[in-house]
Amino acid sequence: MFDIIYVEEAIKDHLTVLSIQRRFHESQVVYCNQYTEVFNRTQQNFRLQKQNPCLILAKKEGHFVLPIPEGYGIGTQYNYYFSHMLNCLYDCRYCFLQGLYQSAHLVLFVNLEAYEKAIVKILAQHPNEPVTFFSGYDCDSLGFENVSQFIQHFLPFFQKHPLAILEVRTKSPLTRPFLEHSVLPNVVIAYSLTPPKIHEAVEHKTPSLASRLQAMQTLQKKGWHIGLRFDPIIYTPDFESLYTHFFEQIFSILDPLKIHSVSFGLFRLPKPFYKKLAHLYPEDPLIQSDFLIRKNTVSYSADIEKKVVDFCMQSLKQYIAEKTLFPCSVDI
Amino acid sequence: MREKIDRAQAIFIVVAFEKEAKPLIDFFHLKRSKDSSFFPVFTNNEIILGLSGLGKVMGAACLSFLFTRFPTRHVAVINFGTAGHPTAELGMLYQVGKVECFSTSQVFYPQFPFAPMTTLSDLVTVDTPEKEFKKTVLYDMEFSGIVSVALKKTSLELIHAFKTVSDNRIHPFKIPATQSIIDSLILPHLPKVDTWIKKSWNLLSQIPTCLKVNDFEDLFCHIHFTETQKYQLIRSMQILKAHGQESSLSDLLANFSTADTILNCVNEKIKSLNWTV
Repeated sequence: MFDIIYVEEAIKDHLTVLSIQRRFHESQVVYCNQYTEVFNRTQQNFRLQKQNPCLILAKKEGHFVLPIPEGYGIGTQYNYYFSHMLNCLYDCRYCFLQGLYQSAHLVLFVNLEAYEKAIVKILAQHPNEPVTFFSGYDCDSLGFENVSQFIQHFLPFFQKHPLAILEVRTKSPLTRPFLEHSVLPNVVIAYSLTPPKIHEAVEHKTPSLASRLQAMQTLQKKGWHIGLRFDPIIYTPDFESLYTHFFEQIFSILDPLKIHSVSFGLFRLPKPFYKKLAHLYPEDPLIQSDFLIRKNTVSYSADIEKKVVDFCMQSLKQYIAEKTLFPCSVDI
Repeated sequence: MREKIDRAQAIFIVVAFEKEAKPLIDFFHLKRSKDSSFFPVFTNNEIILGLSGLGKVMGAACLSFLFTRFPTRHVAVINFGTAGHPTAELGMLYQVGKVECFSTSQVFYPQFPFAPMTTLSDLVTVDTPEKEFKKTVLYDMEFSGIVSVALKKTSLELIHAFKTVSDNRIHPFKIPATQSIIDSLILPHLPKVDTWIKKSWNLLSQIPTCLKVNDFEDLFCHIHFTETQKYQLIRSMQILKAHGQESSLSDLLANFSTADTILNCVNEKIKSLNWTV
């Protein structure tokens, strides 16, 4: 699966590292002092690397848990994110990671216990208050589970901390790590979804919508909290009919009353990220759309945004209680 | 002054010595270029091979010379040659996964957009021939210098080194090595190098090119555009191109006589696009 695995010298005897090396015994190993020697150095080409990404095994040093950007919460007052991984197996053309990093390699941090300590510290700062921890900001939380065993590791931890809410953000249809564990009311498995037409055009190497819907249905029936993330929404002239059918399809499979939360927002990127994407994909119709810059963010016009947000709000309210709807906008 | 680009893509190979280069020159049917004023150059247009001489400074200077004399939009750089290794068998071929400059401690990691052709090894670029072989790595005298210059022009996915082992602790390097000895070390590996070059060539052809001011030089010679208008035109033309609606420059020149009218025309075309993905 990986031609090359880069390993930080300091963790070459770490059990997770040894186990991953055993699993990918045909990979060549290159040792480095720090993962930053390989990852995200200048003069790397994200697009070329994405053709054959390598795995980098590293130890995270500091900044384990950080506050989320404004406007991305799902109902609690206190919200943080943590990244056990950088980058993603999938290749969605709209993904902000392409603008954030120079490298397409997957960085997997193996010192998960350090994240746990940081989360406990944060919880102590907010006694008796629910705090949400988002795990899929810099990666797909579940997509690499077969190697990272992130969920398998963290479910028992969150079981011990019922006021800590874990959001698992994913496009993966994997259900096993949840089915093998008792249902936790403080875990939300949030699926990023786009209508099939958009999925085919821009979500490369991602599992099919059908497989994701099936996974969501299975987990919902078992009692797990399911979240829906329609973010980004790619605007097309026929988006209303596209999303009307899409919502119908989803809510014919899932029980809308048991949906934990729904967030949605139009495609938008910080200006520097967009500039990088425009350079990487000069021939891509999505990236080369007639976007505008508002508040240092590149997106569609405010008129289009209002139209889309209003439409989604009205449509989703037919299925879901308004208090569980969380629109994201350039203006938030 | 803007760089004049002679070719869209090329593979630049830097080799230290003529004896190391000869098998490649024969294999790839390279001809000596007239443009060999500072460094001997051999080319078949797709491949441009420079003979650098010994040392990282010479390697860097040779590649700079090649970049200057053979201006190319997208380049892959390959350093090919012999190297020392404490324990590896003579004639073993390696690709370099990590290169460290001994004198500056700078480290680079060539990136692999496709699978390596052979075993990877770390390499240390030293300033004088290595005799002690303290670390179990390859030792050469050029690659770190070549990487430093190559990075000015291309990315780490397109900078690589193939090294065949010429000496180890048991068989220290003997000068002068004969051409037949060098041939025996290098010739068996040329099919792998050839495959790598073909894959690199293919990769280079996949690198998309953003529209640049150069692409509109004719238009800007005939019609005055402010710098802002130039940027607006390039951006708009890029959008149209991505949506398969590129206007030809000759159309614009034939039908419009001012920057404003051209920009209006292009913007109208953008407004009429069907924004589908």
